[in-house]
Amino acid sequence: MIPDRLARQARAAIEELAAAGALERTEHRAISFRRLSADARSIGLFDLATRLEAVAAALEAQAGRGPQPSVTLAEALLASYDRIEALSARLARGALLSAFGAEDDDPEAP
Amino acid sequence: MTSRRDAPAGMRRAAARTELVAVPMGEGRARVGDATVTWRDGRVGCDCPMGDAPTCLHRLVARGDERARDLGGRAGPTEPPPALVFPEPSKAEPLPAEDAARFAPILAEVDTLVAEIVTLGLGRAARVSGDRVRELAARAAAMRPRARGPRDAGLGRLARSLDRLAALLPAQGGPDAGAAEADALRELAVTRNLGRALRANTGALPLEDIAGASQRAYVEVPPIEVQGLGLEAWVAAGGVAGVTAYVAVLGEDRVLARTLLTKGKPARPADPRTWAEGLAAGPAFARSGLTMRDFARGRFTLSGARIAPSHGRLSGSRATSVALRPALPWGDDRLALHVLAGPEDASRLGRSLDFDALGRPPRSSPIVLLPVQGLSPSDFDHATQQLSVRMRIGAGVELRTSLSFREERALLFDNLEVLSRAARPPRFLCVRLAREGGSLVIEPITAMLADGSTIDLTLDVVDPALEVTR
Repeated sequence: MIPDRLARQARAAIEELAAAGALERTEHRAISFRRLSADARSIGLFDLATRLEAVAAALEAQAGRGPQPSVTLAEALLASYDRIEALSARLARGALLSAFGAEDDDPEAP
Repeated sequence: MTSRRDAPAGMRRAAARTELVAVPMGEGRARVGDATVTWRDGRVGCDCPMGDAPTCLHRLVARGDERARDLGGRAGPTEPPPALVFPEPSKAEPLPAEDAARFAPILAEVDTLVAEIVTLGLGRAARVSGDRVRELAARAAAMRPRARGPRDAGLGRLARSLDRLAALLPAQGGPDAGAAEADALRELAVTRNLGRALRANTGALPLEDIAGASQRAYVEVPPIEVQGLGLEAWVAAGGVAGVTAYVAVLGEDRVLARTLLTKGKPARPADPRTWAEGLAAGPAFARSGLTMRDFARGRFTLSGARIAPSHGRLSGSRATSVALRPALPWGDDRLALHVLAGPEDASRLGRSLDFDALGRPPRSSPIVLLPVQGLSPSDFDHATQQLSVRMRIGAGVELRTSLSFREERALLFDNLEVLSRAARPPRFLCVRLAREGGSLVIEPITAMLADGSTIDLTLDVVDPALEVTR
């Protein structure tokens, strides 16, 4: 898994969950987020992995809560969104630099 | 008159203080009060009673030098204005405990609302939560600073974020639902982060950044010299539409934006010819006859310019006077900070792609000039609805970008398809560096053609005759 692909897949999962909500296909979504978390961990993006894992856990908890709003889920999802935005920004900057044959001088670059 | 130094000191002082403004009339003429100032063969003339004298007040105002320099100096008229000092950002400070306590109940309600929207999903929330978002936005806006509290200790930023969210909710499930969902999700995240920052109250940020009782006022800056880079017609996801002129501040790494909005949402947003042309012909500044389109193409000295330091937006203030300058060649050194031509430029200009969790707008618009050597014929992928464009800007340097189709981008797409197949590529492209769906996007705004003409790609129609069969 390369960071670009993970960022695309995680963004798609986050946007899809935000659009459709957590009341349907909840367990299926939890599995997807757990898989994304494992992918993030496998390429060293531990912070992102933790956030995605928290989304998966919140979704699993939601399955037993019914339609009751979950602050934990919102926190986990929006924290994951922030991490993906930060990752995407670094990747976009890296793509611009690489077009000029340069490398990202950001020490946090993936 | 060839130099301002020919003018008596008293006249120079009068020119520095007068309320007269120069209104460019085109063809080397400007209106100053009741007089017309003309530039011809390197000489400046005036039709006022002092027209035969070496200089007059009108000519000094038209040249704009007096407001662009220290009156005690001896600099010549070709010297650039003094280095510009933009206002310093506000200082970091904590929120007083009293304000934190009175904001707490609203912040708790915002948390519950955000949880409800995420749990239900934006689609359902658009139907059931819209009124509550608007009600909370109004209550947050009513949280004004206390009489003796810090100026920015209100909930203005939270209120504006909730307002934007409320405006985006009705677009969920509409014709451009993908963009509306992405924008609404971004606004939800900003709302959540503002609440967290206000509660954490670490004192590490200016209150303007997290509380921001009101949008920071425009402040007057010293005279600045600007060169227009491009003009763009745009439609935001909530249906708001406008035209923005982007100008580079010469000698500074700042691009300022001057925007005119449509009155209400345009009836046919996808056809900018029905609403954007009027805005492009509208006044860039209240007391000048300068149109937005001319402002986006020429070089000017602005005196009394008012900018919002936190956004890099220019106001159309009546206090701003405009003096026309000869346009700069696009390759001029004074524009170098705005040209993306090498790895150092990419490192510097690429910072505009950074993510800001609090949704603070960039202090400079992410607009740059690309020196184009060639364009490859664009390719529209019907499956993904994306237009791919490749731009060769130097030996071995090719920038690729993919733009997602949206209705209001139809004209831009048509123009890029013709332009990328033209016999001669544009010499420069004014582009925006952005992220779309997380990926780098280089969005052309204005093309400077080899014949010296300029095409605003979101407003004008590129002559189909330019296209050659390849």
